[in-house]
Amino acid sequence: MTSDEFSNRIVSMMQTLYRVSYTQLSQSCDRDEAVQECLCKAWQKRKQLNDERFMQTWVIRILINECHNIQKKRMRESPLEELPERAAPKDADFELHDALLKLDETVRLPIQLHYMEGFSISEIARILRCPEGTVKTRMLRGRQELKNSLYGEVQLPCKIKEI
Amino acid sequence: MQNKRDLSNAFGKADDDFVNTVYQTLAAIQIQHERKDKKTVKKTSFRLVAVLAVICALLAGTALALTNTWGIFDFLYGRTNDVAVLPEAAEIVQTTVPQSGGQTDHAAFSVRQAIFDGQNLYIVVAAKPADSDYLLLGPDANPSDPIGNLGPLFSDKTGTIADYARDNNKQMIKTALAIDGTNQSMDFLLEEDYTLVYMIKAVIVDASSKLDLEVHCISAPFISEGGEDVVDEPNMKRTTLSVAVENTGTKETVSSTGPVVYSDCGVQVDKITLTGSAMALYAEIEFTVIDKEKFAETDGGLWFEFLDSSGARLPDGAGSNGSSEKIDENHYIQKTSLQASESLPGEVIVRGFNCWEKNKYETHTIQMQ
Repeated sequence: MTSDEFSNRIVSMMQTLYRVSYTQLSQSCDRDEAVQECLCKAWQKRKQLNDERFMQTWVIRILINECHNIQKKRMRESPLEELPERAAPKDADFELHDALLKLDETVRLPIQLHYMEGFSISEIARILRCPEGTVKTRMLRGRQELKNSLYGEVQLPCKIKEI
Repeated sequence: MQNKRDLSNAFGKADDDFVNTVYQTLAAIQIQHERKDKKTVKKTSFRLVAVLAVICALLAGTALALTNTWGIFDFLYGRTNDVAVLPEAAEIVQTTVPQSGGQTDHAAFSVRQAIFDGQNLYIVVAAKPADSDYLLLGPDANPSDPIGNLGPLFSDKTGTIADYARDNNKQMIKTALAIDGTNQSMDFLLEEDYTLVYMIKAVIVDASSKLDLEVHCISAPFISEGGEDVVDEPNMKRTTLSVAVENTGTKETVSSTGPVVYSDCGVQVDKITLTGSAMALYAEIEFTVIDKEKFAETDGGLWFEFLDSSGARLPDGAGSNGSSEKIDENHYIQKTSLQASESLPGEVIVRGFNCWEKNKYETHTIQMQ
């Protein structure tokens, strides 16, 4: 893969990279740091990617790892209660923003990866390195919590069967 | 009724900072690829995040007090909570550093001070604006940020950086620095004469007597586009600052005498190594997963911390912020730094804890030799 091809693929993933980092990191500078680390690592390790069709899931996995690394650093530095709450960006859907961020990360990520980014259950399982059954369970829980949070006003596109 | 498109707007669109970071990183990757540099690719983390403890009074106010310019210890004292380095750290600061290059259309980059102890590089780089009208900003400073973010001299001012630039007829210039192949942290501030000063700390383990570095320097003006200040990518200027830093070396190393099992998190600590220098005590903890189920329950949050005899966590050192690397399927190595110490300990008290849930695992006292 040439650096031009790599750049083009990454630019086409811009919004996904942003949303995946946003859902895990509250601070803008942390998101910037995470995506930069992610891109550097992805480029350095690009030869480990046997099939370029899977580049997107592979890059997202690296980004999630980087976000976790930064979360760990921040959690070592400051107790949870000191982390500031974040306001929704001005162009965001405030209600959905707050409802999604109320979800535990373990259920929020599968919901986000499926409904926002369009990944299949098997792709999400590969990204999150957990069994497909776990992904489905978390998505079911996430959907229920999200519906409760939004007082049943949201009907998510039902792409997976209820378990 | 909400649909999939609505959901995708829950977090809004990628902000300018994020987009700029992606483009700048890709640009750096392309440049380095073109150079066919074997090491390739910069890695920069934009925050100096170590929490340092206890100030060593012998070193206080060295450069800042005398010249009103920021040096390594000024950053350690003035920009972090606490720090503890040994008095001889003052003797290993290199103030005359062989260097070449570092000039762009917007700024002249030069190394002001450096320390390299074979484990960590500490380096202060000054960026002097090429024009008195230029206002240099660091890599994660943005026009919409509060002006106080530019450093202590601006802390009592109100408004944004863009406001300040407009009121003082300054043109904002974005700058960035990176060192190839290193995991680095960075802090920066503006001095009174508008010199932008960077403090970079990078984990570099190298036994060579001299370290040859290439510091990649980038500058680009901000332009107004659609009412917003954005980086003028086509006019981004790049240069390399070639630097030679002496390796002043570490003092001693001690290692644990045998493996220790942390059964409640499913790992065995195979080896702990402590390496002392005037700047910090560098710690490496190598561990093996022996119970995959229990280890999986930590959800990747396992971290080891060093305790004192009363059970309090020892403060971090001046060096690395800490990282945990996966060596292979079952082996990991955690690297961190502790405050510098005159002598190396005969034993350490190490506790496992989960940084997600904050719950504590076992604590063991481990003999070192």
